[in-house]
Amino acid sequence: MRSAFIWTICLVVMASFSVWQFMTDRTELDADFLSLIGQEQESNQDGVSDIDAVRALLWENGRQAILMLSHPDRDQLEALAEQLKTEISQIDGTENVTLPGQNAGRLDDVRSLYGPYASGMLSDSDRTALANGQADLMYQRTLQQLYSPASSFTSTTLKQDPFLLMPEFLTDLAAKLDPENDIVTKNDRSYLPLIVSLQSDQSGRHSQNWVDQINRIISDAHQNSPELTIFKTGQIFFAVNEAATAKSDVQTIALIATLGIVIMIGLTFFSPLPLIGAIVVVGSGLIAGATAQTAFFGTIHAIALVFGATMIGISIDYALHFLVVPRGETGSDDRFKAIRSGLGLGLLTSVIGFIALGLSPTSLLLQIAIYSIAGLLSAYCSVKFLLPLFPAREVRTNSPIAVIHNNLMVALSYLVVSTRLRLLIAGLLIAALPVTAFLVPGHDDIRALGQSNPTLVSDARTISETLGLGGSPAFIRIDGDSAQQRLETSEAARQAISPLIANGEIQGAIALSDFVPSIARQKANRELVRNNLYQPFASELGEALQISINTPDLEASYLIPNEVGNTLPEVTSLQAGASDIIRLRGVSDSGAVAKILEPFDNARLISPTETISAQFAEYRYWAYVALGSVLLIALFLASLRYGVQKGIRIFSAPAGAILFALLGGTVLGVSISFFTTMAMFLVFAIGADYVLFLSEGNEGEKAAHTQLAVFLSLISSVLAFGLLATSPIPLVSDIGTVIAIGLVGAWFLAFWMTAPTKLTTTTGRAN
Amino acid sequence: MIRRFLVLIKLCAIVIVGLSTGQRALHAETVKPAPLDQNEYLHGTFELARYLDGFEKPLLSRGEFVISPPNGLIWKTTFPFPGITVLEDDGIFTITPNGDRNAMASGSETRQFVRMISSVLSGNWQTLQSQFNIAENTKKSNTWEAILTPKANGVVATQVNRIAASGDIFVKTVMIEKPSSDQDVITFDDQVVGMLPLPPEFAKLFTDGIPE
Repeated sequence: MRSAFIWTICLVVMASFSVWQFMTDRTELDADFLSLIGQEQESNQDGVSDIDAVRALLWENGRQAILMLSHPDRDQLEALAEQLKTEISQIDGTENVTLPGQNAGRLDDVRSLYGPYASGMLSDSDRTALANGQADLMYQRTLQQLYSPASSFTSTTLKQDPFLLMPEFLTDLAAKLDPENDIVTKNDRSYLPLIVSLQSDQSGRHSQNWVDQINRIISDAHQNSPELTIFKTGQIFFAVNEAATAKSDVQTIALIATLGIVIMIGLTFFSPLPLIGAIVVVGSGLIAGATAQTAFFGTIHAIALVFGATMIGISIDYALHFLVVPRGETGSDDRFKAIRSGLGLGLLTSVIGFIALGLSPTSLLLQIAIYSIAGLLSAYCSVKFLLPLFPAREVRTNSPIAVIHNNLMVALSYLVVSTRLRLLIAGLLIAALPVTAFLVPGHDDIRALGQSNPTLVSDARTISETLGLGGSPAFIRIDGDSAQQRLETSEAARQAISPLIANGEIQGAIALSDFVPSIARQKANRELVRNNLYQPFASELGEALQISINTPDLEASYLIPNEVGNTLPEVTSLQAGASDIIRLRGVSDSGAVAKILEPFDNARLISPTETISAQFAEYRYWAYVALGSVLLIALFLASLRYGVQKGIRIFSAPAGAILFALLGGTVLGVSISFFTTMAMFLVFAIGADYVLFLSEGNEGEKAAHTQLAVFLSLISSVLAFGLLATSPIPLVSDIGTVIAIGLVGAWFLAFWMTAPTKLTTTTGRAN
Repeated sequence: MIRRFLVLIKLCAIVIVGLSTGQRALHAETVKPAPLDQNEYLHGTFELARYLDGFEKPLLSRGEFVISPPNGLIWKTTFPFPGITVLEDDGIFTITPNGDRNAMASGSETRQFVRMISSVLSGNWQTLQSQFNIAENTKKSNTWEAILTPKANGVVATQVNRIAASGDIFVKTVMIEKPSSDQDVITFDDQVVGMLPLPPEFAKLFTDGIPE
């Protein structure tokens, strides 16, 4: 009684803590795939892994939302865009809003930065012109600009750059940096990009609120101006949409699963008390799981939440195992003693499995593992401390569930064969598992895991096709021992891909070397400028300007990357640790890009999608190894407890269940991904529970009770996990399918491998 | 970033164009400028003295200009070197002596700039009033002067300290003082309002002008 009181207090404290965490936004919901990977990766020798570079790139892209406004009248479009800009700027979470032609001017700062190095900064066209002996044309241009009302030089910049080369360099740079941010007109409609930069702390509820506000503003704008059309894209829209879908799924699945379990228990005991007992156990599992998650993680992933709902299916097993045990001679303590060994071993095996899950390299699975371990420990404690307080209710022998179970047992009893034959089959199952795992192909493409909203996908495509904005980014990673080496490689790689840019296979590229040419390039430029421009024309220009013009000094200092960060923060997105990156837009043929880069030792194309998919493929391989390790530990423990032969039979139940899940999933077209592989840990944990319950409670009438408990557990688990298979999210559906198949297999094998040759049912009929 | 280059261009052209329309206003004995009609153009000569801090002499240039509301502005330098700058809806271009057309700027901001010119041409000073504090003073003998001071925190304020313009029946001088201590002084003369079409030598300079 005292233990029950203390445990109840613990549950109340945990529940209060969880509610407090959620109510005060200390814990938030996240649905972004990006947050699942790479956090735990160790940097490689270059200082940063590809996945880290991808993460940094996608994180930066994730802070940008793009709205494309379309209207037949350009003037009205611009006026409406101004209104929207004002409204969006006022939303909490918006950092700034940019319209075409309103890019914050930084000309003075940029001129101050490049001014001292102007003779080494040449636009691509000027460099080509000088190299081709067209310096006279450049000199004419200089004279023309000196007297043009549209020239922008000052006395300071003219002294630094008398031939006015820098404005050309800056124009060239601006064209590379931001070529598409302008209004375009197609088919009598004008399209205007409105680019929103989000504050960096956008997540969970804040993101939801932001997207809700944007949707409201779009709806209002459309109502006020029916001819206005607005398309939108950005990671935030996709993430919020998928989080909402996942949340809705969870609610539906949890509701249906709970109703099913309520009906099942009602039809078994004809009493509400066992149902209340089961709810207490399940509730305590959920409370402890949620508490552990909120205590360890600031943000819980939506997929972890989905798995949390399925915890109902696991923790109720313990309650059912207790509830079917009839009242003992000395009271409720006897009931727990009757199941203690099975329950304890089941808990131990599950915890080992979930610990292995927690050692996996994704924070998502760590969340699930911690949720599961805490939930199961809590459920065990509730079974031990709280359920004995409930008056016992016997299973009605005439209840529909019991009748179905008995008939099923009778039918299955005909399948029970000799121990030797079962041992042989157990050996075959165990041997087939690694072979099957090796042979079944994996599908790790992350694009197949989520379910994006079709409207958002369509909007993203329209924006990409109309303005060339958004879309999947790709980049070229440049490695090298020194910054200058990387800049030189970057310049060479950029030169190599220029034909692809010219013919449209790449829409655009921007590199750190565009902002800061390598010293070798700056020196070559200076030499070119000195020999081809200053030497023939400096004295003539000096006369026109009434100043003496100094020839560029090749030994004077050169611009280096460290000097530009403050003035041009854009360059930070072009570096990843000790690597540089060339950001590519609109790559239509990544194969062609990769091929062009083949001769480069230190430059390679990186596609975020492919990189993340490859990462998950590695995780899947690791998951197989971890699962194999857990199975070996389980085989060892089973052999210790039951002897080698029986140990192999018992162990073959969870191993065979995994085999069935693998084969069944493949036949049903489930993608065997890292996530479905990890779902097999659940199959293992629950399968081990089934076989251990049956092994430990396999004597006389106790066997019949245990079989019924396992059968009830199966129904509840299939209700929970099987419902996941109906989710529209492919990832969740795949996991649900694999687990449902695995659990049915586990139930059958657990019964079949532990059944005595001469089986007795609860009605006393012998096989 | 290059768009900021356009600020000075705007200021110069706006003042030139806008204040040049004062001729018709004064004919109507009112200080408010009246716009050029869509079928009119203004032609005149200019002298631009660009005083650069630290330079002994100003950069002096002379030439002629044409403003046409439906087309834009042509700034044709004839001294000390020939050169043409065309400002129109599609962008700003330089035209080399051998006829090559090079884009200096284009895009929305250029279009806004041209729109501002149009606003001024149509007598709508509100476009300038959003960026400048404008003080006008009509003097005796049909002369006037205007002082334009950029509003604080605006983009213009980073490029210009003050603009002073004066004239009689036409704008005669415009002085632009810059934060760099540089100063442009533009003097206009020989302004004449003509009826479109433009003379072919000017029309061909616009993108949609008469081909050569």
